[in-house]
Amino acid sequence: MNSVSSLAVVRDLHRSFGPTRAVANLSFRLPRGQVTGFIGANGAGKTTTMRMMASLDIPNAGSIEIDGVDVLEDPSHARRSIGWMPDTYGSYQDMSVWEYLDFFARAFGYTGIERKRRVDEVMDFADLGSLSDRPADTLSKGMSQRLCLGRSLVHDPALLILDEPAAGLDPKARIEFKHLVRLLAGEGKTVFISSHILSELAEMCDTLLFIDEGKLIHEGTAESLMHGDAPGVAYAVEIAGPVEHLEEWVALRPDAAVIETRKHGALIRFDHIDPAEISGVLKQLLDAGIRVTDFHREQRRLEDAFVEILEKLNANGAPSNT
Amino acid sequence: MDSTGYSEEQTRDASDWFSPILVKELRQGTRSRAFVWSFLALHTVLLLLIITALLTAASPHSNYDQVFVTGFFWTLISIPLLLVLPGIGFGGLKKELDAKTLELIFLTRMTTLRIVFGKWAALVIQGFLFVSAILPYMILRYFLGGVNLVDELRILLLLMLGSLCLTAAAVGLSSITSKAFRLGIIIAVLFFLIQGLFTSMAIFYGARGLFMTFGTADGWSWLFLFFSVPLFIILMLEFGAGRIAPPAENHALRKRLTGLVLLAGGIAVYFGTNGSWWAPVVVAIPLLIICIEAVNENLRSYGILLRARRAQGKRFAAPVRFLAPGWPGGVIFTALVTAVYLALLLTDSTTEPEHILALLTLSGAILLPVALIRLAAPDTERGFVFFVLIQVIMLCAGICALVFAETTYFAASGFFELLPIPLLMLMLGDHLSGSTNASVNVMVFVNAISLVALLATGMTATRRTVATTSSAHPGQAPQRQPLAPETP
Repeated sequence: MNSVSSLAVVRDLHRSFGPTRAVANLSFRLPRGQVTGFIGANGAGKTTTMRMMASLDIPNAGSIEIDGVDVLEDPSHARRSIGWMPDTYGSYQDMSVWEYLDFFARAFGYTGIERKRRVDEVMDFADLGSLSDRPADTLSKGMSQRLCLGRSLVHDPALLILDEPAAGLDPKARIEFKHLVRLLAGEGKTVFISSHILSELAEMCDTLLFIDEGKLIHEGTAESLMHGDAPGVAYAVEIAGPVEHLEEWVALRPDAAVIETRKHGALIRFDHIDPAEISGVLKQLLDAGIRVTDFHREQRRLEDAFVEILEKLNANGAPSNT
Repeated sequence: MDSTGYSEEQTRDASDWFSPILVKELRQGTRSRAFVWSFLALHTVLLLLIITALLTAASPHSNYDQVFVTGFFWTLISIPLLLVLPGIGFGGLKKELDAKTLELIFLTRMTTLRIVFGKWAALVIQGFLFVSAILPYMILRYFLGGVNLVDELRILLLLMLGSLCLTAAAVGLSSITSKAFRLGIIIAVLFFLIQGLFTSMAIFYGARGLFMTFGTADGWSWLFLFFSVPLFIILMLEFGAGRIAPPAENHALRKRLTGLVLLAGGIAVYFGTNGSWWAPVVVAIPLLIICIEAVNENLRSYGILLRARRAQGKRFAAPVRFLAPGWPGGVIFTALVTAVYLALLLTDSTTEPEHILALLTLSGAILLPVALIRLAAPDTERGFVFFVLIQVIMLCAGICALVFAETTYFAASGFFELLPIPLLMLMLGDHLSGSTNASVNVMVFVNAISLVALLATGMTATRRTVATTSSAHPGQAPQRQPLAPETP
């Protein structure tokens, strides 16, 4: 198998905890230098998979290869390529931010000036310079996440595994964090990031992996998911006056259907229509005496896409690729 | 050469020569409240004590006062060394496990043994700080008179060795997160302190009395002490490291090898002292811990190690299977240790049947519960919990047996004498209903049947593990899902 452009290859992974099957027959690749999102509900098997990839847990079966090294057969070698950021972790008492990073730099084998330089680089990247002397256990959640990201970067790993890194962050910290992730991708790092907040991942990921009950149920780009594979284009129409007028107008058109009725309008799907000619549809609406107050193309939300995939899976029992 | 123009050696600072975990622990430890307050309190009380000693030096009861001051002095020094530092150590790994910070260290180049060793070494250095801080007070007491400096230094040495062992035990045991176990350990330690050491120390003579007894010991005792203390420390640190280690790390080998070296040391002292049993008996305590842990080890670890070794073209050689991780290896190890002790007993002319019965009862108390567990659930990963449960049941049966033995002769002689722990309790309580030889025969049977059952189930379980490990995909797993082709 050619693994040149994949940094990580996961094959037929299984993990059970007693009678509970956490991960079942899971296979995927992480393309080198890309940000891959790992999406699933709580308990879907995201953390278990990531922990196995980080060599912190052992699968019952299957293999994980990171940068050409089998994680199970040579974990200490594989760990050199892995930067791991868990969903929750405690910090140390009586230790400053600088000392915290310094400790990990030492533990990764850096000495002397090289160690100091590495710590300073990481502090610069994660914007921790002003917090250098602050006790590590007194940081806010956002600062702690930056520190944890900095720690996972100390040994300059090729792969970053980030488990729910934005959980519990305020909007400003989330934006900062997204920015850092994109910067890392820009530096050529492969980032594998999990979340159950789909919109968050859509903005920063090149590829998305959907997992449910330990199985991979979909793999594709955020773009393809948001547009979906349903025919036609969806438009949200808001009007002044009774919504029934709009529904009647749609009912008369064979190429349109109401997807969802809303308080002041509806979400309408137009089949066989060129988006460039949509102004004609708007004109027809106005000509029919419907007072349109808002008219815009609406992309599917990722949440809807996820639910749709789950429904399809229940109906067909086969995972999908887009 | 570094980009700054210096060689790597020149750019290193002193702390680079130490383990990262030691540097971290020292940074944290010397700033911790427990250390700072203990240090300040010790100095304050020692200062008051010396002032008191100076003031009472000229009184007619001077001798009595000096004895009291000596006892109080050593008691004070014992508190940080034997209580505070092990107390801090007892929280060492637990804190990290609770905060999930250990996993972050596992991903570095640190091995679990280095982590545990670093934690222990940091506490030892803090202990040395305590000791070096009290030296001026020792010298002051010398000038007050009535102090034999050589004796005092010997006591200090023994106190330090005691501190090293207790701290290692505390750090090792800090890997236990179960509240019930931790509470049990704390109660046991408090009981020991109240009943033994500190009662005698607080009253007049202090640690001096206890350690002076050892000060008169012969050369073999000293030799055995210096031989066994490092091994005990390694064993306790390995115990902690093994409990926190990822399954792919092999800690069974080092623990069992340490046990065998201790056993060899005990046997050497036995022969060196013309058949004195104290060293083999002392060694039996850590060996008992090793055996109990070994027979309850999960086989999963063996499978994972096997896979890694196979990838490197290695395997576990058959003659050393007793050192391989997993309960089947542990059973063989336990049987081997029992056989060595049995051989020693049989070659000793002073051996009584009770001694053989005691040994077989102890090994039966380990093997029988494990046999029951593995016959019922060969692959269970909760073997130790069931083991403890069976031991508790047997202990209760033992108590019942003793109660019956006091009241009804026949009730005690029957069923209870078939079970190891009740039999041991009846034997120790001098309530054996039948002859000792008959009981020995019963225990030989219990051991033999348990061993046969364990070897049979162990072979099957090992084969199953090997089969599972040989392919990355076990038989019970669903059909292989093909990977999407590589995108250019």
